[in-house]
Amino acid sequence: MSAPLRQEYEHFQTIHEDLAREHPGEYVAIKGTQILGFYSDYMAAAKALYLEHEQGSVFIQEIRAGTEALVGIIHTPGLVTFE
Amino acid sequence: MIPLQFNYTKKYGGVARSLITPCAVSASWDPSEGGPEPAEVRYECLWDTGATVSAITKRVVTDLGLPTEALVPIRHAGGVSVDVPQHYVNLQLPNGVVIVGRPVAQLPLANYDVIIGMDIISLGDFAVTNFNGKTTFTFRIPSVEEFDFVADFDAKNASQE
Repeated sequence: MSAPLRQEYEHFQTIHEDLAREHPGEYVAIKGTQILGFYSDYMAAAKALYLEHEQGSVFIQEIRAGTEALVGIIHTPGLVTFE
Repeated sequence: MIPLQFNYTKKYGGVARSLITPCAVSASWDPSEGGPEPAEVRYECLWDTGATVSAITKRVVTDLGLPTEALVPIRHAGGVSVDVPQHYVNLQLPNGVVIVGRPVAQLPLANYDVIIGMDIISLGDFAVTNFNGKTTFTFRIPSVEEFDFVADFDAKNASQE
């Protein structure tokens, strides 16, 4: 079984370059491959979306420029215990 | 009048090897809109300038019933993990400031339930001193002043010449 929101995440990666050019700093909401909207921040997105959609069924992510912009980095050794 | 700022200081009896403080986490909600307040749970958190993002453990996710709302790749000492669940929370820092609707990655953390990363540390001023072998950690929001030890030293030298 694929991870929840995997399809949305892959679609976000596919269109990220365009989003970063056209909507930098905004939050995008994606369900399936459909963009539900752009919002100034997460709370605005949640207020607009969760009247109609179940929490966890919509991918919500900030749009930042650069391919590495959305990669989190934990430098400290031993802090993360992935096997 | 001094502009409003929110301060926190922790003084240690010796040299601290890590900076750990209490914090509180809840599901994201907007306090300005009222309504039912979600449960808030207190945890110990590690302040980590080596983390670009803030993170929580699965325990926190379970405690608060947080839905996954995005996926993010995380690069760490063991490699890169893709499909790391991302959640949005309200995070109360020990200076009383509540960061609303903050993204946090869900990671298997070794010893702490919450990591405060640079995404939050950079919201204010953060300093660690070790004068007389005793660590003092202090943090405030918003940032109100630049610390520059080189400039301070040069200014002292100049004043004595």
